Amino acid sequence: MEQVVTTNRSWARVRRLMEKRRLVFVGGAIILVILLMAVFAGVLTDIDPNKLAVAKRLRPPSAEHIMGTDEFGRDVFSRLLYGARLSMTIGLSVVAISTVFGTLLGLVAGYYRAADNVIMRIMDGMMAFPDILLAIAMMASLGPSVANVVISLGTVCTPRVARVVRSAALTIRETEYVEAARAVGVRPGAILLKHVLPNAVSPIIVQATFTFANSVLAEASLSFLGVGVPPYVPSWGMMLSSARSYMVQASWMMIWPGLAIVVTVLGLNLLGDGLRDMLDPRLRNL
Amino acid sequence: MERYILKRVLSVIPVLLVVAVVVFALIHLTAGDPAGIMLGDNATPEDIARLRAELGLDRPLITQFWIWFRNLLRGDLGDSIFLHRPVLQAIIERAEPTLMLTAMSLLVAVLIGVPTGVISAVKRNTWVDRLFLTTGLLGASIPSFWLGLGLIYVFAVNLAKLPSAGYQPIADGVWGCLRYLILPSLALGFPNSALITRITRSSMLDVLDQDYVRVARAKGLSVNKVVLKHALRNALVPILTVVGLTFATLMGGAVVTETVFNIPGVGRLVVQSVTRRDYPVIQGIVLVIASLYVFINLVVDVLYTVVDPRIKY
Repeated sequence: MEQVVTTNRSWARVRRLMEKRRLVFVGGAIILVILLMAVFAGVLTDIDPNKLAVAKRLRPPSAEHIMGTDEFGRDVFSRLLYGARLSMTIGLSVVAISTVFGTLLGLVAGYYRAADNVIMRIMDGMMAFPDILLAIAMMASLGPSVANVVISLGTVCTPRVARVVRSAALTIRETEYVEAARAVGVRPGAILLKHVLPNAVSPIIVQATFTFANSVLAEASLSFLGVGVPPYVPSWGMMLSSARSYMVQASWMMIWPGLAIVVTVLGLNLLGDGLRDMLDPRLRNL
Repeated sequence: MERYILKRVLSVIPVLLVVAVVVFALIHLTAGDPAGIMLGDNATPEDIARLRAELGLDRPLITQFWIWFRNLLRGDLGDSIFLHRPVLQAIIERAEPTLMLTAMSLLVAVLIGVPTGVISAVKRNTWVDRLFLTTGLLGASIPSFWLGLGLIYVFAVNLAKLPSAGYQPIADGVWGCLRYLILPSLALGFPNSALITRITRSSMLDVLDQDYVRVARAKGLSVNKVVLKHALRNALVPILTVVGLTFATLMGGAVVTETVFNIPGVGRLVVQSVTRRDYPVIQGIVLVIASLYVFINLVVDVLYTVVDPRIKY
């Protein structure tokens, strides 16, 4: 009996928490589903995303192909699942690269006044380019490949992370416990890692979520323009680019990849907003 | 104030220098010889050698940069390999559609963003507020090119009311030009209005709590008058900042939107140049747009001091 009461009570607590953190839960659930789709793409469908069947081209949705087929007779559902794998891989890799380099640059700039000017002027210069334009220009030189998309987008996203981390580091540098650490002779490297970094984690996480959302959108744009991943890689942006020519005969080719992008980016934006409310209450009105 | 403006103008120099270095470095990211890549597989060694000499690729890197930079200061962005014309000329020829598209999209974004932001703030925590915020969040998650495809599908293909692609110069008639821009600027403007809504809302919320707003209401001024004359004016600085930032995003977005709607602008040119491996054009466009962005931010910053004379740095 007592057991039941406590369970009820803890369920009530979970429910209250979920109501308060609705954005985080909804956004997190969406992203979890997309991640599962990406990981288990091979389990959810046994159709090869690149299997050509010209005889079955532009077929509307049916029991065999639940989202129809494209202009080469490839299964749209299967390509959608493998497209999720690509989006998630690129998104997570870009987040990893930009977070590592952005954090490093931001910490150094925020802590050492001498380095601040140099690093931040360079970051300002890089932020003068519209994201997608700089990514296109880099792709033009690097050539189409998944790794190169990650490199370009990682480079484009780093300055914003650096700026966020720097402004956190600037505030933390002036706190008394950092001053105390300095006074007792803790080395700067240790101060940065043990005191400044842990206190800058919240803005870093929030920024990482938005970077994830932006890189999913940016990868789709690059591939839509034909300057992203190579043609044989299933990508949502590339699917939309071919859907454009068959808009009238095969509208399903246009609907599903677009919805997939919207749902993924919306999930990440919700998660980012929720995390910001949770971790940084001062920004709640933004 | 003059000192602030001078300081702000001078601060542009290091940023532009970084922009120039990044743009110069772009061509050297290629694996291998840029001249060989530009000319493709069928090029003879003599052709490659000639292009190398023409682009100065046979000289040391620092000399190359210096020559490139000196030409840049003279307004010489080099020649297009594919179009056989100066890059600057090619850009100027295609500037109109891009500028018109960006301006119209900014108008769409501001016309949606500022009113919804103001209404959201005044009606905070009501269903109207939540509706606008949810729509905004959804809008910000839609890729503009997908929205563009959807608009083409509905308005151009099914209803056949508006052109689905192309552009008509404004010299041939204002309405004719605008007709071509309605769908593209909606596709590009709407997703970018969300940020303006948010910033307007939060900036208005800050101001609406101030005493002078309460006093204005207490002395019997109408809600509309207080909101528009007292609150909005004082909430303008953050809104201006975000409008400036949006302008840059829109110029980047124009690249994608021009491709969706086949608009012969600078963005379309940059994408075509990637396929043609026409690096001087890519470099030129990236450089011009980034410089424009730096300049716009400068103007916005100087405008602050006009909007809010209290700002001193």
